[in-house]
Amino acid sequence: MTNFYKKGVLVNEEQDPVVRRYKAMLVERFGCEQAAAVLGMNRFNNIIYPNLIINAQHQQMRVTIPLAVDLTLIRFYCFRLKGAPDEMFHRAIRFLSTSGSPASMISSDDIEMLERCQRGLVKKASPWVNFARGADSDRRDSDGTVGGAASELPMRVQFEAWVNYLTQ
Amino acid sequence: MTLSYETQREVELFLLNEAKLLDAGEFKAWLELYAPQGVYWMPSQPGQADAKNVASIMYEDHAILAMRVRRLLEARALVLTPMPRTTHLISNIEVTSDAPDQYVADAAFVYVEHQDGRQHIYSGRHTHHLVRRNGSFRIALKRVALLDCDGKHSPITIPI
Repeated sequence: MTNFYKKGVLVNEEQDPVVRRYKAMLVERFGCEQAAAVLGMNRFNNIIYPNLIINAQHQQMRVTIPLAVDLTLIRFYCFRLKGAPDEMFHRAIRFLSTSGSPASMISSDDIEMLERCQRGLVKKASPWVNFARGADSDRRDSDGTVGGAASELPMRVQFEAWVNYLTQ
Repeated sequence: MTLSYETQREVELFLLNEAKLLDAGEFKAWLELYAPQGVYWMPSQPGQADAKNVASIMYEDHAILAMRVRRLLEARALVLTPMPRTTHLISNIEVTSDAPDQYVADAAFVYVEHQDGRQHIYSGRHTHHLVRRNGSFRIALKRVALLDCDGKHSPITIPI
């Protein structure tokens, strides 16, 4: 976990012999241009609507499965990059244990938050959930809409998609 | 190797002290029970022997355990608010030794955690690999086998 996310690249990635070996293998197999295109995709979590998150950088996958209105199962998986050094898979396993296990110091607060939000919703104190944070700073570009770090844009676009499916 | 009653009792008291430190929230002192190369392991599969190719609920070396202890003492994490109250119960302790100054203690445990009106109970067996250091022991490996290790879990926050 020391090689954690920082501005879209793994810290020390350039000095890391395992990653260097992986890059060399990619270049050998696909050529410089295609290898650069694969490695150049600079994203951390990719949310696939409605309930899948893929983190290609650390070979992680998360599926949110609603079981009942007040019960949600979250499954974490990791995957092996075909042909990549074994050490990368071992790291993915480590990452899964550290970031996705029930004892994780990273996701357990998120899951606790989900549970407490649910308990709050049961109270019916407010008929609305406000997802407006960051709405004034969202900007559109050719790729879609981009929001700042703490923006609730991901929630807004998912609910927009949901409304579209319901009303189409 | 047959162990003297004194040695067995010494190991038992070491385990009971570990449980007491965890229940008292003395996490720094708890971490000091671990050898610098010590590992805390909670497998995700019954009988799991491989922590490299199979995911674990916890597989934490000293550096990550130290991060966990800092977090436990910070009192800021949502999942630790309010701080859970715990009882670590250890029983059926069996101590063996295959090498001088190295001991393996296998025991059954029940762990009860209470937080904000809700109670969780965990049970299973844990195995301590201990090395003798300065009149006491250090934990080289603690393997915690939950009965429901392959089940669905709410967040687990305090080491068991």
